[in-house]
Amino acid sequence: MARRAGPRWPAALLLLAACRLAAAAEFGPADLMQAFAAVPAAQASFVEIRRSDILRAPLELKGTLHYQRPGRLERRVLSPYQEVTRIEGERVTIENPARGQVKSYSLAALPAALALAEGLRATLAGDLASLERHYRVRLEGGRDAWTLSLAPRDPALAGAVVGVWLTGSAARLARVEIEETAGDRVTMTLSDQQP
Amino acid sequence: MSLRARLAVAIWLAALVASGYWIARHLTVTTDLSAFLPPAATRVQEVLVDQLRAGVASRLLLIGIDGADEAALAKASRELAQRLDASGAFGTIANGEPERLARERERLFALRYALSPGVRAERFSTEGLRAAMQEELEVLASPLGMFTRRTLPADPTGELRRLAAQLAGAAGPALRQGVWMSADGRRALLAAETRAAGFDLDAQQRAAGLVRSLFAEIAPPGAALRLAGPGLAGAAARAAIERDARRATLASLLGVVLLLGTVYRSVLPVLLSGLPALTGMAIGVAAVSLWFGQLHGITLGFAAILIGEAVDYPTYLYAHAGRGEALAQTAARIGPTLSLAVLTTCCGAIAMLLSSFRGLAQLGMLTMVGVAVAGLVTWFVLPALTPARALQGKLTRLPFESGALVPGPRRWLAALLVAAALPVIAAHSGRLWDDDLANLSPVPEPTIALDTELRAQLGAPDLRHLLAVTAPDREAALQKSEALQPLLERAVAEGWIGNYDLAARYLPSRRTQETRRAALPERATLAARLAQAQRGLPFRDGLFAPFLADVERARGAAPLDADAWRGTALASRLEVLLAPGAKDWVAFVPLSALRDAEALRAALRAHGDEGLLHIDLKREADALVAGYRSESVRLVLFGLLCMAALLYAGLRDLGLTLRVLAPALGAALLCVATLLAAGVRLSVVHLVALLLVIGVGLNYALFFNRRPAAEGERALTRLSLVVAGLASLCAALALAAGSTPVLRAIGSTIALGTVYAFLLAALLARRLPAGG
Repeated sequence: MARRAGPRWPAALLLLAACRLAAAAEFGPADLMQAFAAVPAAQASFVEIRRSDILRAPLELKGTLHYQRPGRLERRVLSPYQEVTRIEGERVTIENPARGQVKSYSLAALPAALALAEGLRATLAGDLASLERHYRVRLEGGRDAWTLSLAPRDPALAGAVVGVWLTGSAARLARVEIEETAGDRVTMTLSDQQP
Repeated sequence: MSLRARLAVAIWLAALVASGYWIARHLTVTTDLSAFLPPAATRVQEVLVDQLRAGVASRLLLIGIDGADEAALAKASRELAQRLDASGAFGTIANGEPERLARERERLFALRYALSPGVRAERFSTEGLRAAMQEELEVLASPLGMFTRRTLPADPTGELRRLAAQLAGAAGPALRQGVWMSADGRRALLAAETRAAGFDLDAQQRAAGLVRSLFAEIAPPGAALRLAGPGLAGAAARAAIERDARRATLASLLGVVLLLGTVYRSVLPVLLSGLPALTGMAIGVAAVSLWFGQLHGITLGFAAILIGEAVDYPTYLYAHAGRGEALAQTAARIGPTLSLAVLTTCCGAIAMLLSSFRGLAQLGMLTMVGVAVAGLVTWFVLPALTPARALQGKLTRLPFESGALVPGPRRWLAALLVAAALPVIAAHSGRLWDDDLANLSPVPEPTIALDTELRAQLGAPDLRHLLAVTAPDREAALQKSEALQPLLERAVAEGWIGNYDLAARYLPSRRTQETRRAALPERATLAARLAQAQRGLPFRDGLFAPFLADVERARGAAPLDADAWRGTALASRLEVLLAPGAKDWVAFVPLSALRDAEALRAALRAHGDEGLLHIDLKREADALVAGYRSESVRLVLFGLLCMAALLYAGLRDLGLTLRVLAPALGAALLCVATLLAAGVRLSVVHLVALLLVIGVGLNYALFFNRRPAAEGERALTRLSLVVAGLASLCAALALAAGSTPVLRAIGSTIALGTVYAFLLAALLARRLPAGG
């Protein structure tokens, strides 16, 4: 039976509309940030491995990571030694209970450290503007499995860090990877995340 | 012309030419505020004056860029810093860019084993090395690890980190886009240290001009440059003084010429009236320059007053000239009164001349010489130069006849006026004096405001508190300041002070360097200890070869001296922190954010170093001014006594002497009361002006109380007094209208004083019968 060609074009239109819908549903940095912005606090266990050509074997640290909106970040190393690093506003404090040492730095005086800290902190806070001030941001993948690539803009940080890659699903960070210009690679894997 | 007249004119011309020649060849005008400081009587004051004149704080140029977005400001800051650097006119340029300190860091790293307080024998034992390396491993694994990664192989004991932490000191303003910016991100901030000293105002002005032109090359659209700094403030002050002095001189000249033109109705006497004042000025300026080697701008500003004063003398002469009378005869007639008027003013000026305040002494000299010369020229030269017909058309009486000007017994009115002043003065007796050196500063207020704002944003040290360690030689000064270090560390830990700086940080004493060198093991020993210490740690074998080489090099290096820092920002810092004095060496320890001066002082006393001084620059400066002021009070009183004695010697009548003195003193009291009621607090400058008020008041009272030769002379005297008073007022008002605080204070005091003195002199004068 000969059919008229006419009625086919609404189907094409439908297809086009579907494509547009898919485009709208594509998971962009703004969506990821929105998801993170809804999380007021989070904590997780981590394993951090540093691979470096100055070390015979990779250095492995275990501990916990705590985040609280909008700008408080705490990294507790539990083994092989104990150390607490707190980033709060403009200050970093590194505390070593075994040595009885507490060192405090102003992030304003350490632009590279500030940029590095902002990479993690701004992502967790869902603050795209701050993230883009320090990095060129690229997001790949979908809501359930994304990789956020951060290339430093700040010349001070670019001198020390090639890039930072964060991977995760929805508002859940799974891994942070840092490649340093000196060739060292640091991988932090997160687990047991709450909430 | 008589022989005497010819001689007078010849001498006058010769003196004028000689002083003109001297001025043209030798006169230098300074605006260095420290010329208005006393000679440094104590070591502390010497330090104070040196810091004000040439210290690093005096060389700081504070730079702000605003009016563009953050990114554009940051770019402008980087580019400007680069160009300033390339210009070579500046030592350190800081804008927050970490790369700017790369040279210093490199030098610190190379010299770490001579400089670091961490270099001790136990640090280089096997246990010490193991502990150090364990710590480095943890730093490497910390979020800041990447920053030590590069230096780790050469510096496993972390000496660079220790030194860098010391060097960082105060954090400075926040970084935005990698450069210093104000908290709101609207202004990029830079600090540049000029190579020229702060008191070299021409060089400071050139440096500022250079910054402006370099900025113009790179300025983003809409952006504006803000410049401040002590050198620039000095230059602004000089410009303000010159402008004010020029304006005041012109304005008072114009006013006086108009006034005299109205009275004499002829050009020649008006022109001739300027002669005594101009001659007095020329010879006075030459005398000051001859005696002091230079002339201060503020002294020159005073010239306007001198014109007003010295124009009075020819006025007394011309106005008193009777119709057809030879001027020489008039001069002889008013001579005794005129000479007393001149001498009493000179007397007051002698008191100023004795001041240890060099600026005041210059004023005294200028006034004394100027007034005396003006008096002599009036008496001897004017009669010789003024043709009799020149005065034929002049006024012989005031166009109006005010009752207030006719002397009469209205003492109760005068007494009431003066009595009203006393409670006002009594009410303010607790806060009579202003001893803040800053208020004497001729720096225009907007300049001060911008300086304060930029300084606050930059967090630039105010350099108010210093410790000074004195010792016979450099090594001893360094050793003594090193001995202070534990105390200073404690002061920081206890929160007594925020931070401190120390020459020995950059240049340890030879003894300390020797101790540190001795703590470094020789290569074979160190290698063995290192191998043992490394056991169980994950560092790669052979990683620390650069460390072994650097320690070996440090062991054989020549002792460090100041040259080690040449070409870096630390060279000038060291220059300021450690300076040779006249006989000894002084190491300065600037303290920032002093919070508990009592605790610090107690600790310093317990430290028990004889050569150690705690200097509060602000307090010292205020004490200095207060010291001056009390000296000036003594001098003013001394001047008064001299005047009174002179008057009595001239008048030989106690009652008359008191009648002449009373209006002058009463005017001074009224003047003080008016100033206080207007919220002004008195300073040295007001005292000087009061001395002049008293001098002027005596002149009026002398002429008001003069016994006229004939009844008709009364009108002439009144005319001369009104004209003289108006001329003084004219000059004083011209100064009072300026913007320089010092000149304004002088001008307003004299303007008030002139009015009061005239009024009181008129009220208190006794109408003496004519005849001689």
